[in-house]
Amino acid sequence: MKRLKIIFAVLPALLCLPLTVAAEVSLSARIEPSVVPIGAQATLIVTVKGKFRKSSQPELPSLDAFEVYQSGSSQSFSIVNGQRSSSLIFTYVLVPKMEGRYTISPIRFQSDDKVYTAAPLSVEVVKAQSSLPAPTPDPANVDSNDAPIFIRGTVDRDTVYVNQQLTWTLGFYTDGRLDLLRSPEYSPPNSQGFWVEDLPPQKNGYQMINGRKYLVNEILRGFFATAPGEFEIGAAKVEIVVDNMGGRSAMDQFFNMRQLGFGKQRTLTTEPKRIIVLPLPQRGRPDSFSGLVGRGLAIAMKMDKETVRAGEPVNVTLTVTGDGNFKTMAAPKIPEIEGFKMYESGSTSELFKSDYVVSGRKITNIVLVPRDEGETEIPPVKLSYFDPYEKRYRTIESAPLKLRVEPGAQGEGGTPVVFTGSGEDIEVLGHDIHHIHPTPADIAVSGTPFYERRYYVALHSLPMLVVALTLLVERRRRRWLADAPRARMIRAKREADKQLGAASDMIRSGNVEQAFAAVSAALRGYIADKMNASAPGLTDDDIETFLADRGVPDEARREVVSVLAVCDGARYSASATSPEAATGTYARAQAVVAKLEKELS
Amino acid sequence: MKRLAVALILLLPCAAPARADLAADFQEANTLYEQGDYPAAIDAYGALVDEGVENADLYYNLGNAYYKTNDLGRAVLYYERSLRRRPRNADTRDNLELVRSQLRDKQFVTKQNRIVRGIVWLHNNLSTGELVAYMSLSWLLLCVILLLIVLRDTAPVRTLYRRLSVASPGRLFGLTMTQDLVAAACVALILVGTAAGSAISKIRSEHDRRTAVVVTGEASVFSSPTDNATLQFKIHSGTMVSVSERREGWTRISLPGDLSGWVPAKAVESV
Repeated sequence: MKRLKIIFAVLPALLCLPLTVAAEVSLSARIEPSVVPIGAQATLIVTVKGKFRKSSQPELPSLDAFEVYQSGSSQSFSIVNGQRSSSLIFTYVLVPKMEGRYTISPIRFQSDDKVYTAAPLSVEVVKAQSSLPAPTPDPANVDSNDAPIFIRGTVDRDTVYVNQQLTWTLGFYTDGRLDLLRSPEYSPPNSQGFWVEDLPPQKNGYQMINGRKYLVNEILRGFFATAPGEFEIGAAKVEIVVDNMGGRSAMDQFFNMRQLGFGKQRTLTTEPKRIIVLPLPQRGRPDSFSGLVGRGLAIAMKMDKETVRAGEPVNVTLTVTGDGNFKTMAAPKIPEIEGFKMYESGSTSELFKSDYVVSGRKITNIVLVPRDEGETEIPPVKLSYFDPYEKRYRTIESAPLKLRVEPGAQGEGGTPVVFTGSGEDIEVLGHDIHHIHPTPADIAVSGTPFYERRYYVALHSLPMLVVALTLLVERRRRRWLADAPRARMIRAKREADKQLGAASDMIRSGNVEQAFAAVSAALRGYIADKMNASAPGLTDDDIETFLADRGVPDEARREVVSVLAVCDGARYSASATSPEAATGTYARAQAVVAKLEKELS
Repeated sequence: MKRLAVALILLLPCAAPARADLAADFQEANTLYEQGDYPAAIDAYGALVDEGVENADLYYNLGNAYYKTNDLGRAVLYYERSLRRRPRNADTRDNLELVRSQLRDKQFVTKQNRIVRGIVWLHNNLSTGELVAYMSLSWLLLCVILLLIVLRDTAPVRTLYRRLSVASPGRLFGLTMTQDLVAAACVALILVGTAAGSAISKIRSEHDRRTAVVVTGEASVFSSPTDNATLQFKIHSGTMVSVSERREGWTRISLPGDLSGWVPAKAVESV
């Protein structure tokens, strides 16, 4: 019974199961490269897949051996079984500070009160291959006024192609003659006409200018022009507050004047830079041009299986890597293949900023569904890009792939058909829609569908109601069965009637002596059941005492004893064993059982 | 007895009477179509739709007529409406596939594993009425199994189980009668759950008219329901969209891949 209770308690919860399947989130992390020299950079890529809140951010563990800079995030999506799932890719630049082998503790990601963790990562930091070069500003721009503090904006080139990377550097120079009362506040330049990416980390070093040693801090940004023409990278501003009080007096120390907001505010600005943006040449532009301007691109194609049945999908992944702004790149396309249906099922773009150069990776997923069996070659996929350094378009292509298509399962890919004979193949000359259907027999103005009618919904409660009622009745029955004396009492009359019925049959068949025995057994059995005692050991005194205790009237008690005496007499002396006497005794026994049932119930 | 007959008639689903002239009108529309007068056929089929006839063949023929007038958006719309009532009709599926291959916008396809493919197959291949009936039968089966569990100690149930359990897979795993019945109840429960989930989703989709088709040649999708909002992207005739909100003159739609926005209400029609 306890088990049943558990089943009924669990059922409603189980009913809800298919509707409340939790959305899974997966978290992965990797470091590229895993061995990095001091002074170089490694990229930490954290990928979150599944359904999650977009505002969530990964929590990085303490990374004391590295300077860490977030270098952006990108989002992609895919549709699986009609369910949309996103993947967010966070990239960080790690600049190692000291040699050694380090294990990065699991990165955590929290979404909807659940915490997900990635596997721990290991990275080895080795000796620097060469010393980090100090920032080297253009000698023409060296400040000649011998200022103790100044800023300078420089670009690595002033003529670029559309979508070619241009690196703009803001240098902040101080020689230590002036103290700053608070951290400088930086306002980036106007960048209209450009798509901009920050390039961490900040560069730090020393430089000799006019015989003075300056501490130089440099911030770098990558600019990608969006259209040809002449554009301007505006003036960047840095707000500083310098110590104009000397800051050495005892008074200053006593009142801590610096913290009270004293000091002189100055605004440092850079010169705007004019940039000429050249259009991409029209001449020689291939049809497969992807819009990407960069260099060192590579393309790879792979399939998730080499053998497939007709009608079953095969997933093809195209991966493009190299330098350039991958966010503006069009996905590469597989040429049309006869006998295949082709669907694009999503794409992902990742950006990296290693060594201040924007590079990336674009992964495009394509689903191919073959219609016919046989060996097929997935042709190479071509991709063209513009190399601004060589000033020409370059085309790369993936290796072709072989796919074996086996006959489809019946009902899915269609029944396999074998053509025999020496005749020509049937040529399909055209496709059109199937013809219209004739007038349907059941045409009628539609009413409310049956499942929206109230009675139909109500009908569903009936079977469960039957189950519930049966459960109640069954529980009651089991309770009675568990209470043996009570069960005997309830069954006593039925058992007595059954035996008296047998006695009646015996009388009719002339077996009078046994009929008397049956009547006696029925009566004694009935009283024994009511007493919850053993019938064979029951004496007349026991019966009388029991009946008296239960308040049975004297007349009925005497009748019971009398009937039992007649039966015993008939069994042991042949004189009283006539069928008439037996019938009379049987009738008396029946009457007395009925009377006792009323008294003892 | 008479009362019982009346009650039974009242319980019959869809008791709206068929009309002989509906069949005549349908035949007349078919004749116009076969004569190549597709605009007139569209009007004739459309008149039947306006009268409240919801019939898979009617929608199919209307889809054909729109295809012949090169209105691919409405052809997709009516083929979809036809498939909603008769999802396994090969003609409708073939025609829809042919029309889709001629649409301007790329169609998304979903990757599915075997289990999900099975559930999605049920969802896509059974009409709402069939799904509800399947759910009701599963529910009845579940109740019968629960009844057997309740009465598992009675002689008739034990005898019945002995006779039927020859075919039960539970026997192979050495399950007792109660365990076998509980396992069967769990299976029935899963059937009820999947059928109910699928049926409810279909009914809600029909009521909320959440699936729609672009019926104008090109629809501009804006960032907000105003004329001076930012134009985000454009979709073209025949593209299926999900509708999430309706405001006066505007409908908020979404496509797979975080693409969403507002289109003029007349640009889309609900399936």
